[in-house]
Amino acid sequence: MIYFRALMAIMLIGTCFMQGCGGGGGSGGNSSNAPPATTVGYIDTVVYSSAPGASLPTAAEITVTTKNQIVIGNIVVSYTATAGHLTARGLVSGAPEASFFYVAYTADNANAATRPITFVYNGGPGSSTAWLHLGSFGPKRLVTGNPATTAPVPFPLVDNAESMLDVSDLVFVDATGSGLSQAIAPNTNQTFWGVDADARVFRDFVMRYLAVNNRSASPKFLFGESYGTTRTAVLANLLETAGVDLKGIILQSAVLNYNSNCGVVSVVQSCAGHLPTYAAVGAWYNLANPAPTAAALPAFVAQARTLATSQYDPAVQSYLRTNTPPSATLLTQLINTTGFALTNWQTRFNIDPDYFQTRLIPGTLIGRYDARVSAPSGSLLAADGDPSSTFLAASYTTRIAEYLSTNLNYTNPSAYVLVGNAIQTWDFSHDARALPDTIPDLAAAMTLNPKLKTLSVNGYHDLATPFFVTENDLARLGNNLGNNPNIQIRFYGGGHMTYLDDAARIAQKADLVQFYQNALSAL
Amino acid sequence: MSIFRRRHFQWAGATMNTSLKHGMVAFALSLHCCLSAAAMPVVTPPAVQMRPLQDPWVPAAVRQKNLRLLEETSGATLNAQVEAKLKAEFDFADITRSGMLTRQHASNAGLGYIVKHFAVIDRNKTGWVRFADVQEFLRARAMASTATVPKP
Repeated sequence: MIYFRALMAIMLIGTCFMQGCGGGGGSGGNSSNAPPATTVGYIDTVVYSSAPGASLPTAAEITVTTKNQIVIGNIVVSYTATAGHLTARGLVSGAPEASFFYVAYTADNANAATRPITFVYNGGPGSSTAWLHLGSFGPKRLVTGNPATTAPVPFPLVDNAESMLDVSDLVFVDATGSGLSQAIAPNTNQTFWGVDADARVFRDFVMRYLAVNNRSASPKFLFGESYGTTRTAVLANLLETAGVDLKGIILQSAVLNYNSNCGVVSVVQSCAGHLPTYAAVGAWYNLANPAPTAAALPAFVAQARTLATSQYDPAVQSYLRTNTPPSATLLTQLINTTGFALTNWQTRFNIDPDYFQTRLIPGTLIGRYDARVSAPSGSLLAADGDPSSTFLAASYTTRIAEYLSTNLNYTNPSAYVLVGNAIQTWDFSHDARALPDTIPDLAAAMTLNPKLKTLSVNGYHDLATPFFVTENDLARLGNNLGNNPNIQIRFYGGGHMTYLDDAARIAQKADLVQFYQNALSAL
Repeated sequence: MSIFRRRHFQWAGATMNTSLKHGMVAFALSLHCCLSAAAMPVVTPPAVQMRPLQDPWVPAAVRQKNLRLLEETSGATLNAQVEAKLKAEFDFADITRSGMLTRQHASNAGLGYIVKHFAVIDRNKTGWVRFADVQEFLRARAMASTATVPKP
């Protein structure tokens, strides 16, 4: 039976090649905008590699489609899932650059001129998009039981009642050297492992997708997470420069400026931006004094923001410059706000998140991505430094491969690379800085398109991309009237992947619906 | 601890410092590929995770290069950065070094926003636009957009 399917697929692929469809690598130059070939069941025999020097000699644009339905709220959305590869081509040269693996979910019988399309990707850099694909707002999601670590594994895959498919088509795309995406000769994966090169090749993927699917008139959105928000800022500017207007961008747990995050540059950067996150985490473990109720968390966090800006940050600056010890009054306030013990503040007054993670609760490691998740130090869950992401890893690894072959009928002999090694040799330089500050890119995108809307999504309990740092980064974009009316910031009880929390996902979905409505109704 | 690591990263070998394991994995994967190419059926292998998710994180070597705190621009200085970005793109497209672009020059450099709005940017209808014309166009668009922002 399997043999038969394989033969069928080979015949289909053969037919496709004979028809010269899909603009494979051999065609060169500017490609036609013919839609990629689609097959009923597709065994892609190309072996993909995430190695830095890996390079495909040529690439075909073949996809497999499956039909499905999802109930969202009180409506039924019939959709087509399209899995396979598209070739990003040089904006001017038209030369093949990289073969991107993606899964697109498109509502059936929708008007392409009005139906929004959202390009979704994780970060790393070097991560595939499986986390967002199987965890957030796609038609299926894994049940993680977040923030508990007691859910059965591998997590079951269920229909996602909070899917965004009722408001937008979704294209989940994997960066070069992750998932099943790979560079095409003469490029290697490493060619695209840098802030600028990565954003450029993503631009070329987006433009290719829009062209071959006749979606250039559709309202366009970007949805990136973590490093994916760094990518989004640069990419938004590149797309606007290329004449592709975006309606909106969603920044899921943003890191827009690596230089402002003390978890990245702890040598000199003040960790005051982390203090409100420490307060929220301390409150979660009932260590703050007095500990706020869940409903009072926003007000409690607001006080922590004030404490961070008006007192902790100036004290940290004095401590870093002249080794001035903090006042006893301030230390008491910090202890009451966070529950972090006096000896820790005395040892290292500028508290970085790694230090906080290991010392908030003696003998326990709290999560980096979701500090509500914890594990005994030395336990299996604590082994990789973040119990919250370690708990997810095995299930995502198992389920993404199963899902592609079983649900989407896409079969491939290569292992899907959930997270590759790109980060180790990534070129982080950007605009003559060693580490990227992408606020100027976002500002440029907003200059080219003054109607561009931004939604910043933050988890109160995320130690990796703390919400107050993101608020301060985005505040740089405020116009001369004060706040920038095109930027909305939202907060949820949850970690980096806010959407894993059942309550946060429901709240975030409602905010997303409103964001899309506002962006679409803007003149 | 090590058992757990193996379970999660068994297909990758990359986070482990054992080159032996890396070699074995590479061999297994290449064997897998050859077998599948030679004799169907293709079986989808499990996904691999070579590293834990870490972002935002940078390797130590990059961290060392970044010891100086940099200004967090806003207002006028941020606007100057934006202008410098736009000007750099414009200059890149200006192959005649005349400070002016035709629609074709803009197109050749991938400056789609200039191509798309060329007729408006080219206020004097000369077929050539200066960077100042682009700035004027963007200023006018920003004004028009601000006017449509609903009052709170």
